[in-house]
Amino acid sequence: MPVPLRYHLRSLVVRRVATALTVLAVGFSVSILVLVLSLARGFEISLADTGRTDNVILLRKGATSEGESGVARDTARILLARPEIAVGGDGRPLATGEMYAGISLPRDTGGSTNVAMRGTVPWALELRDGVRVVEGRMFRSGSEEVVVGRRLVGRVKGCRIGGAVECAGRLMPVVGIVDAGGGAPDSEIWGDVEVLLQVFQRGGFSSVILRLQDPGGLPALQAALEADPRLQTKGIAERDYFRQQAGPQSRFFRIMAYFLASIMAVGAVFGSTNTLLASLAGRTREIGTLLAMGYLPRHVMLGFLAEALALGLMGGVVGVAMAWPVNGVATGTVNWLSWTEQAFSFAITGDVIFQAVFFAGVVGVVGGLVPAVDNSPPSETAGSYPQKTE
Amino acid sequence: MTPWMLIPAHVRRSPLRSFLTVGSVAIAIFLFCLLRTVVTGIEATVSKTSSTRVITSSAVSLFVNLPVSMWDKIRAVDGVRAVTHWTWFGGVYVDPKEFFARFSVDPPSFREVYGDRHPGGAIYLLAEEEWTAFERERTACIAGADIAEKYGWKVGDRIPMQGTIYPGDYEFTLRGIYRTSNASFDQQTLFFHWKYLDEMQGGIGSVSTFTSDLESPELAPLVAGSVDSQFSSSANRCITLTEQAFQAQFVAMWGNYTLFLSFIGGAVLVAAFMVTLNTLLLNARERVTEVGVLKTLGFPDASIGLLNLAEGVALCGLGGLCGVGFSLAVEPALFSVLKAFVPTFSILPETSAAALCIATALGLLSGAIPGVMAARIPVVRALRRVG
Repeated sequence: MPVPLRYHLRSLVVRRVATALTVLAVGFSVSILVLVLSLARGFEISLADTGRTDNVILLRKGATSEGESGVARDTARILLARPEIAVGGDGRPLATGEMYAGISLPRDTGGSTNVAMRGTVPWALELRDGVRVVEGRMFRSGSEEVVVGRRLVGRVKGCRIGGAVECAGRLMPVVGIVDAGGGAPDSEIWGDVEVLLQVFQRGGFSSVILRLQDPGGLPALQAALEADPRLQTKGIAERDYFRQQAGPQSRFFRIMAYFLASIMAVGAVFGSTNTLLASLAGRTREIGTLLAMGYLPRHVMLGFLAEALALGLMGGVVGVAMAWPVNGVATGTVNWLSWTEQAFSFAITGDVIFQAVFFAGVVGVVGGLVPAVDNSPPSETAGSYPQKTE
Repeated sequence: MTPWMLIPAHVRRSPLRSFLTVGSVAIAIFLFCLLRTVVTGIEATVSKTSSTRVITSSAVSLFVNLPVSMWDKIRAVDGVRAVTHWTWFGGVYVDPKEFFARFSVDPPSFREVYGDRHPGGAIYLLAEEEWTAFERERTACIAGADIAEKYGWKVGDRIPMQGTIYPGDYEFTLRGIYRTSNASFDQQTLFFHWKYLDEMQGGIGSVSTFTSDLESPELAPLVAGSVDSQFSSSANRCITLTEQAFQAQFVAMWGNYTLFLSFIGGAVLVAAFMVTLNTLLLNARERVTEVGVLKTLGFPDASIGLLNLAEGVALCGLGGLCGVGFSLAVEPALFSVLKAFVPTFSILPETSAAALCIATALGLLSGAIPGVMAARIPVVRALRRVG
């Protein structure tokens, strides 16, 4: 029969100072893990869930992002006439050439940052249907009006209704705020593509975006593009494109999280091993009593492991709780691929919590391993001598 | 009088526990050194910049080029000694994942501003014949020692590159491997001829930035004002910043990384403090009877408190030494991992010193609480305890 769990839980209460200090030590390690993982998760959410799978972005061959790409008007004309393109409600083909550029704008908090500026069409919301105007209205065709992503509001100067952003010496009035539900357009400024091409003195588009008539038609389109040497263009699903944009950086954040966590885990294991060693050293007589009562050594050992696991899990809960205030806090960093400001929020999601608590449990059990094995006596007599110290 | 000999005896009494305590402090100190060094490395890109160089870029953004025709006009500004230009190339070497910076430059003026022809000494260190070879050949390039080592490049090697912003297949011949004399400049960049790029594109006629080397640092505001006002009404409005302000923009773009890393570092140290405090408290509890004996023998309360304090300092100090020692030992290995993210990674003496101070402080703090407790406990109560 196993030792009642109550005994072990009560023992954690009796040694409350040691328990609290261990829980806090594990908790701090866990909170770091939560902090960095929620940073990675928030960053991923801001890009990875952007866009549709049946929207295709066409870039120049060799380009890794819209900022590097260029599609000449002649090429765009051929691309926009492709038969694979879906037709919208009013008979309009759902495709357009777009312009993409980073512009330098002052931050609300001082300093400046690069913000992504996208030249598109006024009906772009039909094409990117995850995006909606939450305040104001869309920009008008042929005007210098722009709409801004909601995450730029309060971060970048002028990004509010009635404000204006300065671009190449012109003040472009902000007439609307768009919400992409956490996606990339939340950090972008959109204006009319023809106006922006003039402002930036560019002859051609950066990319072409189109909606496929047949949601599974991407491979056929890719093959057709490959077969036409005039185009020098490649197509990629919009969703995959944004996922790729997040790729290297979110990998970096995750590596950082696991690297820090694994080093801190060693520290936390040291700490909890130490506590249990000391606590068991002071409980020799208790152990002897348990054995004398007929509990088997392996039951006693399992009990101590359970105690260690409880310590770890408490540390996990405390760690998540300590990190909780950052959940939803807005922050931003530069996206390595587009080199523009990517605003996002720390996101403590279910999987982050699960990983953190799992981590804490592992730390607890591993920390309990040495003391539990070390202190499970071979016979009741060995434990019953009160003078035996550690 | 204090029985100092008891300290090593106490530390040896439960070697496993002492080892674990020292270990957790060592880990915390190692992480502290690591995080701090990342921060100082990034800060060095700003702090070691020169005050005689100013950089002109488009006021619209760094992605917008300036016409190369501005070159002569900037050169003509009073106080400017020499002007060179940089153009961001992008490009793909083997695979998009193999990322490092590639710039096209004008080698003769680049040499004058950053190389051995600069009166104040070179930033980019190359032998004279390497500079000459770089200047002479249109497809020549030079590369930083860190990337040359990473890819195993030797002088004379051909380096293929696919254009992204400027499409086409380029091939450079490596004519020199540079080191830098200054932590603000990385050793991970490839430089090639702007003329080669211009030719491949059938004339791009534009560059990303101009760097002007001034006759003296005080002239910076004057030159910046005069350059910017010259082009203020044109479509190519520009902004001229000191090299330091220019670099600071990039660091600022990262967001508030210093605060973030400091926060992590702080949490690591607090966790280590909890561990040592806990160990020392538990140790002290086990030794209550001994404290009673010592007090009976006539050792003053202060000595007994000091003993605990010294034990804390000994354990944490040892942990600190191990942590700093380990950080220094793995410094080169860490740099090779972190190369892609930080321009330099060298543990400053200040960082090591701060780490040791923090370790000692940890020891003092976590030794003080059991110390005070042990000093205060009355003899009778200490001796009454059994077990």
